[in-house]
Amino acid sequence: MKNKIFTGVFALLLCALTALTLLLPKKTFSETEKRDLAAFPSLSADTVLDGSFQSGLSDYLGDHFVCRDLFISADSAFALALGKTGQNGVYLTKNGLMDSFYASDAKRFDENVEALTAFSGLLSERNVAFRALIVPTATQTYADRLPLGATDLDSAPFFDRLKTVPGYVDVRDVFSAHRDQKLFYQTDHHWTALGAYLAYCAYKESLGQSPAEIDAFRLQTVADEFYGTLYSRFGLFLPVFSDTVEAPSPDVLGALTVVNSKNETTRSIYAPERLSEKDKYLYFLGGNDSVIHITTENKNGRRLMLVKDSYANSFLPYLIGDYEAITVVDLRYLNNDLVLNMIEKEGITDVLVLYNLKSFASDSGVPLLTLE
Amino acid sequence: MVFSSLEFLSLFLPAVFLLYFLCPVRFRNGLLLIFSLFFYGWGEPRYLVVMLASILLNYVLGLLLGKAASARGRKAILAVGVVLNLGMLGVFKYGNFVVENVNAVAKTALPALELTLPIGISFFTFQAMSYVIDVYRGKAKVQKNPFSFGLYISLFPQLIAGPIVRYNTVEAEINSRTSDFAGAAKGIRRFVTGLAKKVLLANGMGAVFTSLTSGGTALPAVSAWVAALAFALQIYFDFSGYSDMAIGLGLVFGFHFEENFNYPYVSKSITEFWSRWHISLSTWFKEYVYIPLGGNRKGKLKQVRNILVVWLLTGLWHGAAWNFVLWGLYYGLLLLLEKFVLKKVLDRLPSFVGHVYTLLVVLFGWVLFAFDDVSLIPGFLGSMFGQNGFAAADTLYFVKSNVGFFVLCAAASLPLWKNLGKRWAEKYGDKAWSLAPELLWYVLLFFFSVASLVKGGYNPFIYFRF
Repeated sequence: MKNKIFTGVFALLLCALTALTLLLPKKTFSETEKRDLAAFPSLSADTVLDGSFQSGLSDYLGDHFVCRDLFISADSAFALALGKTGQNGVYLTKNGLMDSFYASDAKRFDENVEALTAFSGLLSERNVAFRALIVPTATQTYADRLPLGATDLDSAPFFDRLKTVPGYVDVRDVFSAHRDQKLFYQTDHHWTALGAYLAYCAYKESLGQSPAEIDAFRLQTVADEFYGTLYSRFGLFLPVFSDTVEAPSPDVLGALTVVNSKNETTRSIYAPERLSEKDKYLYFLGGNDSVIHITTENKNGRRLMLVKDSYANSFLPYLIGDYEAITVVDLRYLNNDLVLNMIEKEGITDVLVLYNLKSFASDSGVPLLTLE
Repeated sequence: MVFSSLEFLSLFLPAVFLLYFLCPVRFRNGLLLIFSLFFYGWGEPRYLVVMLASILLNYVLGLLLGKAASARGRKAILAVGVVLNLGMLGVFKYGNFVVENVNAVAKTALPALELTLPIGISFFTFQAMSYVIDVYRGKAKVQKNPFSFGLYISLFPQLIAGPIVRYNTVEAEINSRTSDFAGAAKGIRRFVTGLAKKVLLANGMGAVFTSLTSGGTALPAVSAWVAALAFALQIYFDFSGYSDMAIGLGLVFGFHFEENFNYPYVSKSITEFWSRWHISLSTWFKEYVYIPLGGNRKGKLKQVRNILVVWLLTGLWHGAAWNFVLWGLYYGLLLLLEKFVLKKVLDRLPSFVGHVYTLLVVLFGWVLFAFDDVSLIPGFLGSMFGQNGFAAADTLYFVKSNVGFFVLCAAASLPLWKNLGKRWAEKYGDKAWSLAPELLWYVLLFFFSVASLVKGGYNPFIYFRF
């Protein structure tokens, strides 16, 4: 009798897994992983003989397996229970998740620093003000919170190099001074509205101007229960940590004209419609785009070009009051436009390059800055 | 196809179980044959031809042996059979190795053969040869049914990673066998245990080994030892896990395959280690090479020769590269040393000396085994002996992150659990309530194994979507 029940339970279990996996409705896109899920492979003599059908079916099953999130969590929990506090390049600490810092290609960073230096020279010839702000990593700011023994790549030598770039703005001290506040999200690799504000202050001071108080921006919560990229990457889907997304009130920013690379015009740098998605950081600018033109209500003759990664998306609101036009350039998506041409054509008076250290160290687009 | 894949667990397995047990008994061999060929062809459909050729060749050899009357005729058929089987293995497995070495020595430029290794060819060729030799020796009857014979060669549970089932051990069950719930429940337990060993333990240890050695073999000493240990645990759980799965699946269908592993890491000597590691291979070599060469019956000198021949071949069987030859000879020499000198010494020493000695020898053996580029081995051994320092900055975190996993794996390689299970069965086996904890244990093992396979395809894309 025992054997019958034992066999029966496993037979049912197997059949249930199969039936549910095959019959349940399928998603085509994974918000957690930000990628298209595998489609059912095409079946023909050719695809079977070259094995592409078989490997395609394997991918398909992996992407659409029943209770996929539960299984992924279970596996991450199993590894965590055995002591793996770092998974998929993400550390789990009692203060939240932290993105580990590594530079996959040391030469790339050096090339980028050289490009930045050359770029600053070209701009000073053209009488354009230049600043470069490279944001320190969470693992540097909060090195003491890393799991015992975890030695993330030391970022100090990277900043020593960056200090040689004319116009470089160092925010490490400001971050250290405010480190008991939340400067980075606990579940996402980006910085918070406060982190961005502190960097904005440092930027303004570097220009010899005094920044507005943070209260003037009337930060408001636009989303809570934000589970970001680090949460996805660690793969343990338990709501231990969650973030709230704050942003300066749209009222403070005034009337804007925002034109994206597809020539579509909107009135805001915020994309509230994207708050229904998993990645709520997309509220800022609606994600990345190659070139975005913003015109503000100001008339002060200052026109800024912001060359940036996604960290700048939540930094941008603070800049709105200071310029009459802002051109936002993401080199990772830029096709044929030459940055120097754009600067000339659009009468740019200020350039700010804003990246976090990790993406600056790996972005192959930075040398595009100096193309003439 | 491999057992540790979602397509096997969620498509193949339910289909074959369902159809097998719905099917009338007389069609079951045919059904299993079809599924086995499908299983084999899944990975590399073209090599189904090789499999079918091997079946046909050995089936015909069996028939011819049955018909031949004279001793000379039978001997000739056997010789042809051995040559053809080894020839096929030689071309597919050792062809490129021979070409490379001829080119290197004779400075020629023979082109490499455009062949990938047909999966499992070493296993099924040895099985086929055991049939021909058993029939020649009169230890087995000629299998006249080509489908039954095809099933013996291609039977999917042990097809790609053993155990090497000698024909005379399953002859009766090929022709007629029964399956019942006791066998099925036992088989499922065994299969799930093997699956967990492969997926949860071996794959994880493999990841540790790869992450440590992917950047080259210049490692701090701690990392090198951790890597060697990880490889030792990986290969044990991988190989014995596959054998468990094979034996378990066999049980569900009513086959009783011989055991292949018996807790090798508790051995007190290398001789004992090899009576516990990949038993079906050692048995095969003993029965079809060592004894026919004269074994130990023709004087010490011949015995030494026979042992070295067997271990040279054992090494080569594991792969066509010089490190496997080295690895085989390493064990051949050690076994000789034990036989003639060390055994008497070890017997007098406390048993922990034997344990430590065996584990160290085996660990260094795995270093030879792990790098099929022989030129990497000295560097790795140098690392183990501190050539590149004791530890690096990230060693502590790495060790700390993995120590729990190593403890789990080390514990799982001891017979402790099997004995506990036995005592549990003796004490509570007939109690109705004992089903619940047993079921829970195996469902959990299965659940976490599937979880690991599902997570394997989990690939979060960090920054953006192109």
